[in-house]
Amino acid sequence: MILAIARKEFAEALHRSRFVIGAVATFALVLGGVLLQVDDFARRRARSDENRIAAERMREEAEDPREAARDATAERPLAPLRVLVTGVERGAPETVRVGPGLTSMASGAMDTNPVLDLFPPLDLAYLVGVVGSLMVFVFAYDAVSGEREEGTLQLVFSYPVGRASFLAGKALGGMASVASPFVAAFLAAALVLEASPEVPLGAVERASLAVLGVVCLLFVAVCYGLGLSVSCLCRRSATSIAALGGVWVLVALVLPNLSPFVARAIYSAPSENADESVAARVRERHRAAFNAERRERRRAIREGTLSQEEAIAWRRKRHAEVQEAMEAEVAAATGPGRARRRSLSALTLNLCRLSPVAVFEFAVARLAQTGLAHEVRLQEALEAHRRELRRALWDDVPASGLPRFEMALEPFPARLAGALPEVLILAVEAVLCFLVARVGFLRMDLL
Amino acid sequence: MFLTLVVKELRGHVLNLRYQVAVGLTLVLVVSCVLACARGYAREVEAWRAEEREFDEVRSQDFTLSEILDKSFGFRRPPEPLGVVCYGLASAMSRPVRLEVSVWRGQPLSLGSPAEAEPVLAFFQRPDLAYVVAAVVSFLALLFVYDAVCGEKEDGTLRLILSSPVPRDLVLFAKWGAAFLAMAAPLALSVAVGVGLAPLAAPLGLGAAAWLRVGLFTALALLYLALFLSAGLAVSSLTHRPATSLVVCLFLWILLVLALPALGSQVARVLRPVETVKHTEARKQAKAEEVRDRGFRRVEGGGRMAEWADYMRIREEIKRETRQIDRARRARLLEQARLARNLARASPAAAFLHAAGELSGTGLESWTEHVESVDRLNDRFTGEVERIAMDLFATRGHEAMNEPIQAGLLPRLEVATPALRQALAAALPDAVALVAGNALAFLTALVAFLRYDPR
Repeated sequence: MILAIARKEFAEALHRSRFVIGAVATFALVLGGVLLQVDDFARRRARSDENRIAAERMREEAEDPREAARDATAERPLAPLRVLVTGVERGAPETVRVGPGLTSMASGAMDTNPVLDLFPPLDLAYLVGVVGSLMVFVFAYDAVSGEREEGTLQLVFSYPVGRASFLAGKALGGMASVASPFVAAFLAAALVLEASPEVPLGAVERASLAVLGVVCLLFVAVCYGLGLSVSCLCRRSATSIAALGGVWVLVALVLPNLSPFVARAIYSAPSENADESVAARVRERHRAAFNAERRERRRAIREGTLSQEEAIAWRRKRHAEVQEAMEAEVAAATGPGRARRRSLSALTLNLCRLSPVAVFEFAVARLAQTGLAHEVRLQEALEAHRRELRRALWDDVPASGLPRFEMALEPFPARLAGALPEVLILAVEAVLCFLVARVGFLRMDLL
Repeated sequence: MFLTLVVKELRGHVLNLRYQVAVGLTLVLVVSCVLACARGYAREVEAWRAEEREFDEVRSQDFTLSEILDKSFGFRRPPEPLGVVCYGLASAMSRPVRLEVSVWRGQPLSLGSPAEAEPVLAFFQRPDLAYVVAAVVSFLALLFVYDAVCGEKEDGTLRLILSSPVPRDLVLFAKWGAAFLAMAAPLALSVAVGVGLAPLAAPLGLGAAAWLRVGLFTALALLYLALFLSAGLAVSSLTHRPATSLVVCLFLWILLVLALPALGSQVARVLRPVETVKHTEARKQAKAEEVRDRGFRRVEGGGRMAEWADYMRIREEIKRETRQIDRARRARLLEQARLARNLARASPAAAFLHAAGELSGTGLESWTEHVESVDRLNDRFTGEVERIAMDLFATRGHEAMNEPIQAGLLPRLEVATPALRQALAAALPDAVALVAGNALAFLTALVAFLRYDPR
């Protein structure tokens, strides 16, 4: 019985003009967006390779390791799935200067075009998260209230059909019809990825891609469930679409965007720049003290009370000590600020998570390795690399032997574990939405 | 007659729950977004001040010439208070600029990330006033008018109205006018309230000129709103059932507001690629090598030599040539940006955001000016250091490197913001595009309504 209703619902949906328009639009947008993003990825990759070769050449040619270290650069790991989920990297340059003293730096002068990043890129995450959710609402808003208005609901219940099984059939068929354009578009995007030689896909990426598809489906289910429940709760479809429009504006356009500001209004944290200057002052002090000690040794060498070898041995040892003490003090001075900033960002993310759209974007970004967690990992790795560089300089490593920055993307289990909380939230929301729809439908007045 | 119709329509709107929700949402959103962005501005100012103090500390010291040659000097543009209205390219302009003076090249470097970058906003757009208008208000406008004609047909009231001696065009004008009044008044009011309340969140220090710009922005927002109302009316008069009209309206909105703007920039990236910095650097080096090869005389053992005068001439030539390459790249970059902007004009949302950016001093024109001012600073700064160095060498000889120089007297970054006239000129094509779109949509609505079958 349920299956028969589902089949009827599915067939009916396929004949609607809005479904046809929506499906074609989704397919075209996703495909076009992926093609453009593949092109962008190829460019990024070419630039990154070029910069890597240039950096290698610079190391070979440099006579002084100090000079080589000052101009040292690091390449961001290019996640192949950024083609589908651009994430926080959006316009970030692929090459980062890591020379000592510089925190982070765009590769060159004012050489990127800010106008190009004025609008969010048309990647799969945006098309499903923002555009797709609206489309699903448009498909679902009159699923029940429309039938009630037309009177067909009364007709259906003049037959021996249970309300619960009717709704189950309706939800099943509706979900199948709503999901089909997304499934088709996703498969097409995956095919494009497979077919383009510029985007290297390994087993890990393929597995992540598959999970990404599942998360997309889950998100579509949440949206459809929401649409269905509003449709069951409202008596008229005009009301239900207005309500859904309002919900969509809040969930997709406002809530995630406002959350950083709201979070800051209720919780404060010192800015990174402030901490940075505190750290700079600490470092300056230690450096000055160390240099004073060094001058003393130099004088001792001149006076003949200290041998050259002893001085070098002292310098090595002392420098390591000073470095350690300095970093410890910096960590102590900036630690509380960093902890507060971390809580602030956690608060921001949790406020964002009120919106399923944001939850979805976080989940897919984690899977694609372009999200905030990846960015934090990258910054930490860069920081570690900078420390390594400083140490290598001190150990008088030749320019060609300076450490190189390599960072691997997370393995599949880690990505899955990272995305799991978000996926669970989506799953719970989906179940909740369908439950609300069920309760609303069971209590519904058919007249 | 016209007035009666407008009043009737207005009354219908005001009593409608949909309208009340829309007005409430607009008011709350506009005000809260302005306040949030004002707080953001206050934090930016704080960060800017802290950094400026640090830069100043360096700049107020005396350095010897040799120290200046391996130092870098930081400059940073103060945040733009009207960024609350439209943040636009402000993040690109708020990046600190560092100047390094070296003998062979003087290149402005843009360092680090913009002040107080919110990582979450890399996912989602900054909720400034322009964004709220571009995305939310346009959406509400379409939701508001999608059933203006076809809904009345379904209710049967359209036949009733048209059976009385009222010209059809007058009915449509009245519908449009009433919808515009009903939406425009709360929008203008909430902009005024929002920007008026902003000083509670942060001292924006808006002068009369800034308020004039806010006023112009509001006018632009009303124009944008009018366009979406016309488009909604057109769709409503082209369809016969509100459900169909609604679906078409939403797809139109997705296309115009969400899809086209992004597509414009991505297409521009493909159509007009700009060569990578590495390429430019390589070309510059090759050029410098070529000039050196021509100018210097080879000596035994692989070295090169030249007379002092030749040396200076070669230096000048290399500087000129490399600068030319840099400028050519910058021009190409600007061309790409202009193309992106022109392509984006197909979408009213993008046209509106670009124009709003120009009016708020955060648009393409302001960015261009800023980049040029950095270029100028670079020229003046390195020129000044060179002049001092030459003077010192002439008078002190080899002692020159240890002579103290007051860094405080060296040039600073001048904040270049296009004047209102320039901003208006830059925003004009976008405004014209909006007016044209409006006229087109309204004409479509008119023609469709004149041919409309109310049965």
